[in-house]
Amino acid sequence: MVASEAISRPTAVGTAMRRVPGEPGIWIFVLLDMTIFAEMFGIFAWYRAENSELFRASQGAVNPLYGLIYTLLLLSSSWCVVMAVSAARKGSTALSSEFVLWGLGFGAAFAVIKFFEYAGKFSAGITPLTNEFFMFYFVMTVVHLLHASVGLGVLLYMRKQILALPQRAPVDSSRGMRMIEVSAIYWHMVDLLWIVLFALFYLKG
Amino acid sequence: MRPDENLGLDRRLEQLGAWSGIAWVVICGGGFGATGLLPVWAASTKPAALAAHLSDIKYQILIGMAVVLFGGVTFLMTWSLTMGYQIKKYANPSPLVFYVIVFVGLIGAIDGMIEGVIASAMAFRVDTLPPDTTQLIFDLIWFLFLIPWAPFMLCQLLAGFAILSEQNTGVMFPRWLAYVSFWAGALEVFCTSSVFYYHGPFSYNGLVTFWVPGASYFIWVLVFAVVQVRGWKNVKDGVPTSADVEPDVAPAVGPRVGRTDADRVRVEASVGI
Repeated sequence: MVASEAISRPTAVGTAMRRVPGEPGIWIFVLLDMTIFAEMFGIFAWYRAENSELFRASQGAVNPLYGLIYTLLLLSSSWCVVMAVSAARKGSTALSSEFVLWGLGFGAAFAVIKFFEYAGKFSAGITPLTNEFFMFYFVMTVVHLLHASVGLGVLLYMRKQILALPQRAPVDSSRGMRMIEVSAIYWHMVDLLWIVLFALFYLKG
Repeated sequence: MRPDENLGLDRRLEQLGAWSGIAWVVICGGGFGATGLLPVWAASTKPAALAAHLSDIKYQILIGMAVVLFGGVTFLMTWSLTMGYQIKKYANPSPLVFYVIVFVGLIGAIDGMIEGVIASAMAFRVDTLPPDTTQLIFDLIWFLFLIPWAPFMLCQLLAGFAILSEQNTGVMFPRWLAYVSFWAGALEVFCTSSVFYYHGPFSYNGLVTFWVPGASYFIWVLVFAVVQVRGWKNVKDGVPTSADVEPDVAPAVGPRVGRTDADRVRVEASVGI
């Protein structure tokens, strides 16, 4: 059977079933990875409930402005990636590549500012061993930063795939297009995880 | 020996090697469970209390570790060798990927062997050792299990990339397996925090640092081995055929109507190590 037929098989009413964006494997990865993060969020909530005063006091040492800047950077980056995928589907590879570069720039800015924030914490004597709040804060945000760093490599790969697409010809289910979607899905997962981390560590309440 | 006899032996060994992955999970997991060391006591436990506990389960540790050393470690080696061989045969002919997988399997087996020997020695002398020394050896067992994670991550990532490569025939290794490998590899990073905390989720008995990477590694081996065993039905007469296999991803240009003879030739040519 032709692969594209297998993916978008006509239904009884004559409309084609939507194919899975990217490929099924990336969704397995996203679900498994988010399950692990969900587990960490649950443990954090447990510890927070056990020691709410300490967590509230410690959160006072976290600057919410950093959180806001990160969130805006990652949301902008994700928007650029969405536009890049859309442009790539229409065959506008030059525009798509430009959007990915912008997405990459926002993502890199996120990583660079994160290092400044960590440096500020360390110079103030706050480390992952300070207390339980900062144990979670450092471990979870560093793990997210590792995801984002891998994501920057993934965006570079995405750009390479975009530049390899045929120009000015709409593409939908080619291998290259699917890998572009896979890259975008990974980057959106990084963004989504950040939104939860932002709420946990930076928003007062 | 006639060539067809050799092919038959090779195929049988491939099957046995794939099954040895499942055997490793069962025997090594069962052996560890039998030691009574799980759930692991916290690093913050008082040495005297830990030593008394280990003395109580002394014979469980000795028997459990004997099981781990007898079957578990050996099967990790045979499975890794088979996995490397099959990755090279069915997914990507890169010799470097093959060698990395085989060497990491060997490192894993040696690491497990040292761990089993140290745990056995600890249990053997637990009644006469000072509690502080017992605790140090106890730490060593878990550090050996957790912190040399980097080669295993490398192996999982390389296996994933090989499966995602365009050379993958798809008859043995489906593409989703690559993403499971990436996921399991990424979780290895959590082991790092075990050297910094004495209790809590990121210490060596913690949910995030011990159970997540430990369980995910066992799950990864199990899933991989089951795929290898099940993938066997797609491999006939020593030559991979994919008439029944649905490709996960459409080709870059034009429709795909099944494997061509050229694909088969490429697979056959890649078998030599």
